[in-house]
Amino acid sequence: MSSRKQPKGKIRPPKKPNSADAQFNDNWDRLAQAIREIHKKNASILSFEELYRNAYNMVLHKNGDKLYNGVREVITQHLEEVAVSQVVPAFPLSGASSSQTNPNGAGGANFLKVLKTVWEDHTTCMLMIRDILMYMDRVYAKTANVPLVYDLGLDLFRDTIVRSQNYPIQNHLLEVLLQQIKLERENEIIDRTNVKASIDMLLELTDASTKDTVYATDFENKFLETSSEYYRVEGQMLVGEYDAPEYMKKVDKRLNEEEQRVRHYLSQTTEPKIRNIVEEELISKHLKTVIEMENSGLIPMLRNEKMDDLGRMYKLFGRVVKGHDEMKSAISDYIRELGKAINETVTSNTTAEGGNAASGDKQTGATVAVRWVQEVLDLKDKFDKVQNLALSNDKAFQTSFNEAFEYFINKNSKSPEFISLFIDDNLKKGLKGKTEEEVDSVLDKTITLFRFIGEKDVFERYYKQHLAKRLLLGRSVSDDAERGMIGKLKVECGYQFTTKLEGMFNDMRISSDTMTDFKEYLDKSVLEKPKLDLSVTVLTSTFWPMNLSASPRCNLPPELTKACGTFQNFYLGRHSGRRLTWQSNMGTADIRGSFKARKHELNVSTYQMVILLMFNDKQDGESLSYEQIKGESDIPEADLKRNLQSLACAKYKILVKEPKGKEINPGDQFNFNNDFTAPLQRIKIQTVASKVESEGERKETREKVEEARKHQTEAAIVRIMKDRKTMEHNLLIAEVVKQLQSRFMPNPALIKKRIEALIEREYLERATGDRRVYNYLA
Amino acid sequence: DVIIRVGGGSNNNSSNSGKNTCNRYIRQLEFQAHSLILRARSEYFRTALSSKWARKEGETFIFEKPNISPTVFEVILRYIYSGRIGLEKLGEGDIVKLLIAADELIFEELIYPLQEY
Repeated sequence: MSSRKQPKGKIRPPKKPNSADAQFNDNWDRLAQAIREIHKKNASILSFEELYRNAYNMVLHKNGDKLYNGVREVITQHLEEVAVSQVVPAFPLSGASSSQTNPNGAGGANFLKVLKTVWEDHTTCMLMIRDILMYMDRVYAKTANVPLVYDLGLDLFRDTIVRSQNYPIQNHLLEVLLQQIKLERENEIIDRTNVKASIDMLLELTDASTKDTVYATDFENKFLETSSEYYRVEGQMLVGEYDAPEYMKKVDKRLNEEEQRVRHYLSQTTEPKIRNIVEEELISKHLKTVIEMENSGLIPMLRNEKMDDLGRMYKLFGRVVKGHDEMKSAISDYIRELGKAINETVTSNTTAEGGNAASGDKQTGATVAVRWVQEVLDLKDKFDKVQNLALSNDKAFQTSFNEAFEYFINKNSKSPEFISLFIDDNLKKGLKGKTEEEVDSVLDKTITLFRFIGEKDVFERYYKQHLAKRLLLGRSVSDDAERGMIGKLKVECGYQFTTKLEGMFNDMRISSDTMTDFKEYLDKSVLEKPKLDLSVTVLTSTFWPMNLSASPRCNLPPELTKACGTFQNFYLGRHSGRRLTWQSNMGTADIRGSFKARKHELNVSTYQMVILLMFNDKQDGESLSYEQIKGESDIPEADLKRNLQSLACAKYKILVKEPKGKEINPGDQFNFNNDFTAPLQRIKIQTVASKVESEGERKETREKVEEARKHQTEAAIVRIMKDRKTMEHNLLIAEVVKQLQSRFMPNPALIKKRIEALIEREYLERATGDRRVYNYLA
Repeated sequence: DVIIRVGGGSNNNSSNSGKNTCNRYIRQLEFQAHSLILRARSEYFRTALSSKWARKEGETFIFEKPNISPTVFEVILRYIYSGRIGLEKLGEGDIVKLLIAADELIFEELIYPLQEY
């Protein structure tokens, strides 16, 4: 192994001049020299092949350990030199630790720059050394269980430079890094490449004991600590100084900055950690404060529809665990509050209206209802918009909104009635000046409100009543709209809910068919023709919200009775086994009245007709007392009062009342108003219909609903029990509630009562062993 | 685009003798090869032909490897290109040389079969 090539000048004598090792020393000298050349960046003069072969031969002759140690020594020596000659002089002036006041990080930046070059030089050198010693890596390092030469270089760098025992390089480095980051946080521009180089360096060095990167052991914790401290202070300052939107903008910016920072020059592993810190310090800790900020918090944002801010809040608060929950509950509370306010204005209006009700100012009743629904709809619209624009349609928010709506809508016991009235109002007159689509969308929205109602059966009852009135009095503007509405209800609640409503429509259709038949029948019949046209609508009693047993009586004039008789014969002749009951309170009549000025055609209700016909027999100026009218017509008192009111006190005063006043009282006298004038030939006398029910009626409706519920509950119980035969009490209740909740929320007490009633009637029995279990008795 | 000059000395000798540009010369031979393939197949050549170490003349790399005999190198080059190794032409001594060369150039996958052979 003699070399024919002259060594390139010896710097130091052979370490082990033993004769056996002479060749090794020779080779080693050349390698050491080469490494030094590499360190001096003179690598280009070296021949890779030759050096490789030298190293190869050394390892081949079992001198691997010597070579390895030698390399280590040379590198260490070099690094020591570097540390002294380059790194130490570059320390920031008087040490960064004592010079926190150092206004700009120039010294620090310079230090980083030096460190960066040192590091870069070192790594390039190490790469070259590794190339030369590739064979050693392969063969020796593996068997001797020592780090590869490159890693050795890193370790040496770590120990001699970064964690130098002799110089406080590590402290300086960390402090400078943190200082640089702090500077950047405070909007100063720093040289990111230098910082990045240092961070990369730390990342590449591994800690000997933990096998973690030096970055993780030395730097990261300190970085996170200082960051957390920094943001704690910043959070307190920002909360104190800015309003909510501004605050959130800042936080957003901070988060972005940190993310950028991590991406630019920190380790990816730090990203979640630093993010957590910022979120914790800036969001979690100030969650409540920001939401509740006066004049700028969540509520004012909602009030002023600050969608951007809301969106930002949603996004930011979504980062922390409880953020959305807090937001949700805050918004829900706000909705509830608004809802309560709406409810309150309405109830205060209704009570005020209640005082006026008797004085005939009934219109307000409906307007209140309409206004209530409109306000609720507006509210809903608003929050839908919020949901859409700011909350990216978050389902959880949607649910909590809906819950809030449900809560306050059901707080208002009149809401089913109001909603039905609202629909009534829209179908009666709302169509004017609105396109089909508009009406449709209004109705669609109403349906969403309907969805919130707990007591759907109550709504159904009211809706039936209103629909009946619309159909019978011909108030409905468009059949299509009606059908559309029913269709929507059907989609919402299923077939059962709407069968009756559809039945009502059917009745109307069949009735008109029947009437054509009846007319033909009259034409053909030999019977004396009635003196008036009779139009009858035959209603199926179960579909319509009429009270059969309490059918209002009323003495009809003889002509009418006769006509009715004819129809009854005709109808019963066609359908045997049916019973006809006349609902005189629902009818209308066209009568002709001669006044002094001219003749008018009056469109009035059946009752009004009866009352007016009474005056036919009287002389001019003769008056009838309230009692007389009541006695002769036999009209129920409430209806009579209302009809008299509409005749004597409303827009068209067909009758004159003595004494004057808006109220009808027993003892009042009525005169036919011969001087009545009106511009139109045909006059429609509006019955002053009570739009919002009076207390008594409401109670009645309630009772009816309760009654219906009892039956439904029983039916549900029997259905379930029939299926299961035996069942435990709680399970049964749960099942019943499940079945019924699409219509109303049954309370357990009611169910229990029904169960007891069923036991009494021997549909069910308690199991002999366990009193909590029921058996079904077939 | 690589010219590899091999031979020109015994296995243990480094050579700085005059370069012979002849293609086939008994003592020193020039092989032409593609740097791409060499780099792809061998870590040794990847390093040797990397920008840090390689010496370039124009577009061609010049690389000298004096301690491997042309015969052996030819086999290795064949192996590098084809993935097959033809031992038929080699004498026993050459096989040993090949083994040594493969070891030096870190063709680990060559070493084991050769040792068995």
